[in-house]
Amino acid sequence: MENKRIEENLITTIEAIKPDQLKKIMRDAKKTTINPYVEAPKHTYLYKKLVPVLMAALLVIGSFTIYSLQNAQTVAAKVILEVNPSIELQINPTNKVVKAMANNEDGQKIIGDMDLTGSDVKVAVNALIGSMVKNGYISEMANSILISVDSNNSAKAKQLSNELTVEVNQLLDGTAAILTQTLEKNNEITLLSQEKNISSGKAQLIKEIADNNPLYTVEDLSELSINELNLLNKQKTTDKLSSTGTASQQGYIGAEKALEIALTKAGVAKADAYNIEVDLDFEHHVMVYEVEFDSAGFEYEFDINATTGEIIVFGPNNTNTDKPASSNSNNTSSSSTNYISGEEAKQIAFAHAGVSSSSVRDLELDLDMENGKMVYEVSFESGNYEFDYEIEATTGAIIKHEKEYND
Amino acid sequence: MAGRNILKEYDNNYIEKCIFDMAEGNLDGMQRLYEYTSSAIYGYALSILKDSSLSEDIVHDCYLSVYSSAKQYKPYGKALAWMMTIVRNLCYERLRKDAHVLKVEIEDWMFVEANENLSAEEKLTIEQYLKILNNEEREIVMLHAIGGFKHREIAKIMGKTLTATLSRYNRAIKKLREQLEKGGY
Repeated sequence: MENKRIEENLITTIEAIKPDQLKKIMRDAKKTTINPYVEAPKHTYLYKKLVPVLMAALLVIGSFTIYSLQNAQTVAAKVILEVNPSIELQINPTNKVVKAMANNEDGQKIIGDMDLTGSDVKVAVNALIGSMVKNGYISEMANSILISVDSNNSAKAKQLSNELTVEVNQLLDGTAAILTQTLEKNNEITLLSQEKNISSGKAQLIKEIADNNPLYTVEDLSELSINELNLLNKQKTTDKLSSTGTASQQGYIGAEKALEIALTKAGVAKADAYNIEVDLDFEHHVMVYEVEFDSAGFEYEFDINATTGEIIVFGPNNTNTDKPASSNSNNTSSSSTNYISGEEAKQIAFAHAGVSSSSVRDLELDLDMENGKMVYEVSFESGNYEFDYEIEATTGAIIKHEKEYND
Repeated sequence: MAGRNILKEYDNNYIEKCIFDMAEGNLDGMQRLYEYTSSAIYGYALSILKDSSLSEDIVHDCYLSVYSSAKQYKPYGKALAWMMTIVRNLCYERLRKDAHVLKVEIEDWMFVEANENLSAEEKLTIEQYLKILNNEEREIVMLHAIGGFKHREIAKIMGKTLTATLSRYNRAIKKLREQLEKGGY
C-alpha cells in the first residue's frame, strides 16, 4: 500500500465529515471588527550628514554647556543604542543627556573619552553612531542597529524612538537596518537581561522574536548579534517592534552559494531543480541556509552552515527529544562530509533491487538518524513491487531491505 | 461517495488575495477562503483535539481570528502556514483551559463509523489514525496530507526540528500502513 493512498483516505474522510460552518462564520464575521494596521514610522531622506562634522560639533557643544536648571539632572527617559557595543543614555525632560553609560566593553570603547553630558540626545546618538562606524562595528557586513527607548510617558517614548530612527537613517544614508522599540516593564525581560548579562533592549528583542517563532528559544537567541537577530526577525514590523532597511547577509556565504553546495551534494543539476527555496535561519546553534528544492520526484531539504558552507545534517537541539545517546552535547553539529550522497544511496538501492532508475515510481529519500547512525531511507515502487531500503550513510552498506508484492 | 482527491498543493496567491480582500472588510474573501481551506483547518484541529465538536468551534474561531487580524497579515512564507499556527494556538489554548474537562481520553472516532459516505478502507484509516498515533504523529501526518506542507514547514509550524518531523512522519505512516495491510488493504 502506498503512503499516498493513506493520505488520500484521510483527506476524503475529513472532506466527508467536516461540518459546513460557512453561514455561521459569515454571520459572526459581520459582528467582528477588523483590527487596524499598526504602521511603521515613515522616513524621509532630506539631507545627508557627515559623521566627522557631527563629532566635531558635539565636542564644541559639550564643552560650552552649562547647567543651571534643576531639572537638567532629572532622568525622564532612557535610550539604549545597541550594535554589539551597547550604550545607555539617560536623558532629562528637555532631551539633554544626563548620563552616558557603556553596557559592555565594546560600548566603553565607543564612548572613549567623549563627554556627552548636557548635549542633545540626537547629537549624542549621532556621535555614537559615528564612532561605531569609525571603529568598524557598523559596516556593510553587519549594518543592524537596535534603538530602544524607555519612558514612563509612552507617547514621548514613541515619538523619541521615531525621531532617532529618522536621525540614524539619514546619518547612514539609508544603508542601515534599524530596529526600534519602546521598552516595556516585564519581569521576564528583566530576568533574561540579568541572567544573560545583556541590555534590557536586547532582551526584549530576543523575547519578541522567540514569541513570534516557536522554533527559537530565548536561550539560543541570546548568543546572537543584533544583525543576526535582525536577519531572523522575519516578521519585520510587529506592534512592538519597527524595522526599516535590510540586514546585511554579506558576512555569510550567500543564498546562491548555499544552493550550489546543496545541488552538488544531491547530484542534481540546477536546471533540473524546481520549487527552489533558500532561507536564512538559526538551527543547531548556528546560522544556516535552509535549502529546499524538488527534482525528479524527490523533495530535497538541507541545512547548510551560513558561515562555513558545511552541510549540517543533524545537530542536537534543545527541543529535540530524539537526541541520540551517542551524540556528544559539546559537538553542536556533525558534518556530512563523510556521507555518501542521496544519489549514491539511490543507486545502491536500485542496483540491489535490480531495477532501472526509469522504472522507479513514488520514490522517497530521507536521511535520518537511527540507533545513533545516519541512515538513508529509500523507498520506491517498480513493477508490482514496493521496495524499502535502509542504507548506512557513512559506508553505503545496506542495513535492511524489504520487497513486497503490491497489486 | 466523495470524489477522491489528489494530494493538493495550495495556491498561496489565492489565499493571500482572500486575506487582503478580508482586510478591506470584503466578506466575499472570507467565503472563498473558507471554501478553499476549511478541510485543512478542520483536519488539523481534529488531529490535535480528536473531537469533532471541539474542532468545529476551533474552525469557527480561526476564521474570525483571521478576519479580525487580516490587516496585520504580512506576506512572508505561506499564508496557510500562518493560519495553521492560529489553529494550533487556539487548540492548545483550549486544551489548557479545558484541561479539567478533557482529562478523560476522548475516543471519538465512532462518529465516523456511522458515516455512509465513507468506504470501509477510509473508516479503518481514520480509526487507526486517531487510535494508534500519538499527538505529534497525528499533527505531522495531517499537515503533510491535507495541508500539503513540506516537512520543513511542518517543523516550523510545530516548533520541531526537520529531523524530528521526518522520522516521526515515517514512523507514523508505517504504523498506519501495517494496520491497513492487516485489514487486507
